[in-house]
Amino acid sequence: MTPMNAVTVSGLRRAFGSHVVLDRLDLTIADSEFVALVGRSGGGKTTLLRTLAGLDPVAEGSVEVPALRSVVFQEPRLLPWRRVWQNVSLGLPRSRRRDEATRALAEVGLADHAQAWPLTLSGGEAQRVALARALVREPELLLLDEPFGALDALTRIHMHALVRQLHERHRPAVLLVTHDVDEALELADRVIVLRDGRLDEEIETRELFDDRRDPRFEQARARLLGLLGVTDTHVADPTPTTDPTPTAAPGQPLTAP
Amino acid sequence: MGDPAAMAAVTQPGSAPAEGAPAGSPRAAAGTTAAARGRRVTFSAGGAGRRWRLRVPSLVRRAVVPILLIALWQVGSSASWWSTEVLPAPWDVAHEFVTLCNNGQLPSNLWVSVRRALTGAAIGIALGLALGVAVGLWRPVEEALDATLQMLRTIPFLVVLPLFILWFGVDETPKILIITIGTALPMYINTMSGVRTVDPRLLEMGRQFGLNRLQLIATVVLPGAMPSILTGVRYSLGLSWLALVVAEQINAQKGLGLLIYNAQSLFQTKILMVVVVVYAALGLITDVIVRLAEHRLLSWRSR
Repeated sequence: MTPMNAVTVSGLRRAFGSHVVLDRLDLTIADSEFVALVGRSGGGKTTLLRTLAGLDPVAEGSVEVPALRSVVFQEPRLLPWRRVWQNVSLGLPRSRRRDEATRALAEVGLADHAQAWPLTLSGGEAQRVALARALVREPELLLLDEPFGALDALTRIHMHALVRQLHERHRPAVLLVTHDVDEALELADRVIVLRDGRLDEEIETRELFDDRRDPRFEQARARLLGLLGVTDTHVADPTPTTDPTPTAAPGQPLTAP
Repeated sequence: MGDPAAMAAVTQPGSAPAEGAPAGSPRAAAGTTAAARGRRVTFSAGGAGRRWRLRVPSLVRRAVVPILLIALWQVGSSASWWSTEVLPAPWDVAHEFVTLCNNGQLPSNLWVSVRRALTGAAIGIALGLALGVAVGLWRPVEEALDATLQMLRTIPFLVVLPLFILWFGVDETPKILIITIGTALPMYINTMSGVRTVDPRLLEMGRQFGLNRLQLIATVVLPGAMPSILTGVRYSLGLSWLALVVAEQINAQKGLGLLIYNAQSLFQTKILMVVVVVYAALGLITDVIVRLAEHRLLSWRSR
C-alpha cells in the first residue's frame, strides 16, 4: 500500500491587506510523518498551522486535512475553572471521559495531578496537560504551534523527549511550528523552511542522525540558520556587527529572529 | 550607577521610611539608602501581632462595633436621651419582635414579601443573565439592544411605579414587575461585561476541541464571566429589597408593607423598628448566601 497523505495543501494563498503571508503554497505531510516548520516570526508559520487546524479560512487554494485533528497552542489554554482531568476530557463522549483522561495524563506523567486546578500547575506541567488533551482524542494530525516557546530550557528538553516518545506511540502526522532550529532538527523527520510565503527548502532528517556530534547535523543546522538569515554560526565573531541577529556556539539552543 | 542624578534619585526618598518603620523590622522598606547599607534584617515566623490575631476569631472582631452601637442605643434609651416614642429601646424592639412572631403577623407577612421579592428577582436575574450573555456574545444582538438597555438603565427605575399602577392596576403584577426591572438591569450590565472579558483564546480552544455553541456557553463563557455574574446577583438581590419596600406602598393587603402602613398610621415606632431590623437581616442573609455561592463557584481561583 502506498503511504497516504495526512495533509495536502495546494496553491494556498493568504494576504492581510497588501501583505502576502502565504503565496500559492504547496505542502504534503504523509501519515505519521513529523514535520517541523521554521521561519522568521511574522512569516506566516502560525497562519499556515491555523489554516490546517480550521481556525483560519481558506480564501484561495485548497487544503485537505483529517477530520481528527488536535492543536497544542503556544499557551496551554486550559480552563482554570475545570480540574485538570476535566480539561483533558473536554468534548469527549461522557461515558469515556474519566478513564481516557486518566490514561492520557499518565502518559504525560501527570496522573497524580488529575484532580488539581490548572492554576496550581507550573508552565511545563500545564503544557503537558495541553498535550494530553490533544492526544486523548487520538488525532490523525497533531498541530503544535510553538508549544515549548514559553518554557525554560530544562523543561523544554524534557518536553522534547516526551513528544518524541508520544509520537512513537500514537503515530499521528505532526506539524510543529517553531523558531528553534535545534528543536526542529531534533524532533522532526523533515524540516521545511517558510520564506516569503513559500516553502523554500526541505531537509530530510529522518535517516540523518541521532547524534549531535554527527557532522551532518552541524551542516543541516548551519544551512537552516543560513536560510533564516543567521550566518557564521561556527565561529563567534569578535567584532560586533550591526546585524542584531543572535549567534551562538554549536550545540547551544539558537533561535531565529 | 555612577550617574550623580541617579544617585540623588535613589537616596532622596530613603530619608522618609527611617522615621515611620522601626529599624531592623521586616516591615521596614527594602530601601537602598546609604544608612541601610550593611544593616541586616531578620524574617522569622510568628510575630506578636500575628499571634493576637489568631487567638481572636475574625467574627468576634467584626462584631465589636455593631455590639457597641446597640449598647449605646440601649444606654441612651434607658437614660432618656430621647423619647422612646420616637426611638424605642432595643430591648423593647426585641420584645415587640417576639410578640409579632407569636401572634403570626410577622411570619405571614414576611413570607408574602419574601416570595414577592424572590419571584421578581428570579425573573429579573434570569432575564438579565440571558440578555447579558446574548449581547456579550453576539454583535447583532448588541447592536439591536445595548443602546436601549443602557438608556433604560439611566432611568431611576422606581419612578415608573406610578405608571405601572396605571397600566397594571394595584395587584401583584406591578409589584413583581418593578422588582423584576430593578434586578434585571444590574444583572444585565454585569453579565455583559463579564462575558466580554472571557479570553477569546479559550473560546477558540473550545471550538477547536469540538464544543458546540451551548457547550461553549456552559463550559467557557458562563464560568469565565462568573465573578461578574455573582457581583450582578449581589447587586440585584440588594436592589430587590429596595424595590420591594417601594412596591409594597401600593395597596398593601399583605406583606411587610402592610405592617409598615399600619404601624405608621398608629405611630407604633416599635413595629416600624422591627421591620427595619427584619429588612437588615434579609439583606445580610442574601449577602451571606451570595458569598457562599462565590466561595463554591470560584474555588478554582484560590489555589
